[in-house]
Amino acid sequence: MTFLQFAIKNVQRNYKAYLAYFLSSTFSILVFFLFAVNLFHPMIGENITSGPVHSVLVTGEVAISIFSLLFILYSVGTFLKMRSGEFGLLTILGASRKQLNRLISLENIIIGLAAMVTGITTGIFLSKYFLMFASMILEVPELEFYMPVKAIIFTITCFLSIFVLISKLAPFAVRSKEIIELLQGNRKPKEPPKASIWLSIAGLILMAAGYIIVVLEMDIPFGYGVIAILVSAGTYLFYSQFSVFTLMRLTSLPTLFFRKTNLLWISDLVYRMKDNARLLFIITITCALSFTTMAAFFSIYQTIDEEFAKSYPIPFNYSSYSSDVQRENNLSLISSELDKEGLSYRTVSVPFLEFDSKTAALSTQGYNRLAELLNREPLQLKSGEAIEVNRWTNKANTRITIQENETVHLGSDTFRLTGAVQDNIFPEGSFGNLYVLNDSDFEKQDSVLNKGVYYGYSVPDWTEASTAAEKISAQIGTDLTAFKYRSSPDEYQTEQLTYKLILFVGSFISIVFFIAAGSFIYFRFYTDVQEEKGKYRNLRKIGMTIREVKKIITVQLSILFFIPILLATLHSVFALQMLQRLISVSIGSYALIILIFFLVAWSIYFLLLRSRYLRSLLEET
Amino acid sequence: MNMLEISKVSKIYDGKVSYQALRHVDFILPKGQFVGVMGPSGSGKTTLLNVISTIDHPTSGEVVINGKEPHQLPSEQLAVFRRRELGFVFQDFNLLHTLTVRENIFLPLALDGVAVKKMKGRLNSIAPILGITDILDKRTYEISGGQAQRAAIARAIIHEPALLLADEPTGNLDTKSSRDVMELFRNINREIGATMLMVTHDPTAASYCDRIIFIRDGSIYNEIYRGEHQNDFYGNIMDVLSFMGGDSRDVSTIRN
Repeated sequence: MTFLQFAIKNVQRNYKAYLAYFLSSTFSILVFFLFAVNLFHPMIGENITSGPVHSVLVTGEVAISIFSLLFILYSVGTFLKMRSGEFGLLTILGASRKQLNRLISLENIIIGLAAMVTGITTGIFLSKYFLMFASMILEVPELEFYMPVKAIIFTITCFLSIFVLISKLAPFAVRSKEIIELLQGNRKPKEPPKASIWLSIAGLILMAAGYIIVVLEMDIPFGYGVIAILVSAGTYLFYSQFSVFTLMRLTSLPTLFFRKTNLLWISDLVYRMKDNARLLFIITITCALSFTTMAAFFSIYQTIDEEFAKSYPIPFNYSSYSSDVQRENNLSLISSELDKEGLSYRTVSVPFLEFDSKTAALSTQGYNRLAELLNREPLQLKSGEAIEVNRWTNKANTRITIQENETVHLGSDTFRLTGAVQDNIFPEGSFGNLYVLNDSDFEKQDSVLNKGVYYGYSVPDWTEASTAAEKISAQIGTDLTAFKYRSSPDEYQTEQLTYKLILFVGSFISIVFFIAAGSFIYFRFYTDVQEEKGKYRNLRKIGMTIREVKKIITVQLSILFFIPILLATLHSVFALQMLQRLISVSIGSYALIILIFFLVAWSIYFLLLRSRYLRSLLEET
Repeated sequence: MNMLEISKVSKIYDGKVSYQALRHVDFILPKGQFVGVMGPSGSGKTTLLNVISTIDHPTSGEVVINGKEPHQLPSEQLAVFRRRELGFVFQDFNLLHTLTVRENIFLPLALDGVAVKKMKGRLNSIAPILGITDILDKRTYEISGGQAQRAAIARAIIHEPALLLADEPTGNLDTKSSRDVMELFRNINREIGATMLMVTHDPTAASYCDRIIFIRDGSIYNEIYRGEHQNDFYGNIMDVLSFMGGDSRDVSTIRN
């Protein structure tokens, strides 16, 4: 028997110990591969707007590969810890450091290769459905199944490097320990965990401080960074100190502690909390991040029509200067393309003045024509008065405030500002600062940079107008000194697809993350299932019922499963409140949908893992 | 020739209350001797064994095995030292469940890169003494405790170590298996001439040794040598133990 044979036999015969690690690796590879199949799909590569779509997919793939690396590293850590006794024994028998390293490397390579074969094979079978699903979600013509050679090569290259890296890194995990510790491994009786009351309180205060800054909308330098640090530090202390401290307090309340099974689950949970503080912390923060981003993107996606309607009050906009010789051609091009698509529309034309590249004016008459088209209040101005029209959509941080007796210089005259219109009428950012003047004042202005006419096409069904918009853009040319043309359907289509894709990729990554988070917690339980089995067998001998065993496990598992999620929900509520200030649509209801969806899915997952664990705990051997 | 020389070995465990597990222990083990170490729980006998076996480091003092000081060796050489000079038998056998009995026994040789042919030769010469010829291809869960311990002993001696160390080798065995294992140790001692050190608190097992060192509170309390008869030796051991006091649960009351 050579050393290599020994390593192979170790994996072959002890597959149960290696199974968890193998499955996590396979899972990571499968996810990565499925994603790569989409990324390298010939139709996505060429046909579908390669810009944003491609970059969203690439970002997703990068996120997944980082995630895979961490996931595999974590699994390999648990896996090595489980086997510390074996390493101790080998060391006593005279295995050198080098030989142990080689053994660990070899095992990792064997498992890695097996996981790659399994992951990719499963991936090829599943990719058909995954592509179908992707094309359904993205509402693109069906992505056909293909032999994903590129994806296979890409996955193999990436994971081969990951496994080589891990096989080099893994030995460090067992490096510094004395053999005596290795031999005792998990059997070593644990010291009771300690927690300080002050750090527990500090944790709560830090978290609360972060929340208060959000609620009171305090303005502090590096606001987001400060809040993130406060809440993260608070969360960490919550798990490592507060939870342990609270549970330790419970143990000193005899009437509670010695009631039925409380004694058992509380004392167990103290250790589990302390051991898993870092894991729970990471799960909480990542959950909060994915809740928040998903809720934000989901609400943006749901309200994208509304947002576009706000930033383009009139969908097709053509501003023509005096040098514009193609005016008639271009205007008839727009009308005829809209006609061809059978879209109804109303037109409006309004003269405008540009004093410089950042300031423009409309006449009262002109503004009122636009206002009528948009169902807005008409304006009335006396000579020497001006009203400012917001160039941005109406948001908390874009609102215009007018001081008393505020004036504005336009051309050679000074006007008194008497009010402001908070909703834009032209596409966001079109004209710079826009003012409405009294009709006769408007006529009098002659020291201007440009005079021109704005033509607007109000199309009620503008979301259907993307074909027309595409054709118009293709033919209209780009002589920016003569005219400016902007239409909402042009950007709407790409933007909508991008958000759809972000949502698709985001939910995919979130789902993968949630599965992984759950299985991490599960692994932690599963690692000492043998020991626990013995413990509960003995407890049953002294009169504990199976129902009570189930209850103890359920309470412990559910605390570890749900506390991170609930805390993450709380974090996200505040984070979303902060985001709300930047987004004009209301996030609340959409966020609620996402949160409920996550909670339901998580609960189902919890029940699944719980029954699996109970089965392996209670099965007789 | 002395196989093991221990001089002024102390071991202090640091902690909130530092605890001295061994105090200036001195003794010499000549080649071919089979020595037992006895003492109540917490007396330091396992610490002594761990220090000798290089599992643990002494705080001060010297351990010389077969003319070498293993605690002074760099880690690579220490590994080579362990695999060539030391053999181990544990209370809970510590066989690898992933391997067959034969593979378990080959393990120290495999680690040393010994050719398979040579491994087989060695095994053939010791298997009959150990009575494990029939179970060589079985997995560890298919054999009894006594068989497992015999396999573990085979693993500990297949590389002809300078020193065979055993930590409560009969602790997990029934009376019959214990006696078999101890007979085996004595045979190995006589036929192969192995130098052996065994920690035990079973007086029956101890009565198979040539010499017993008693430890209490980290220092050597007494030592006795075996005479002609094993039964007399057993009586002597019981006398010292009862005189030494300590935890009475440690003393087996079974007489043979």
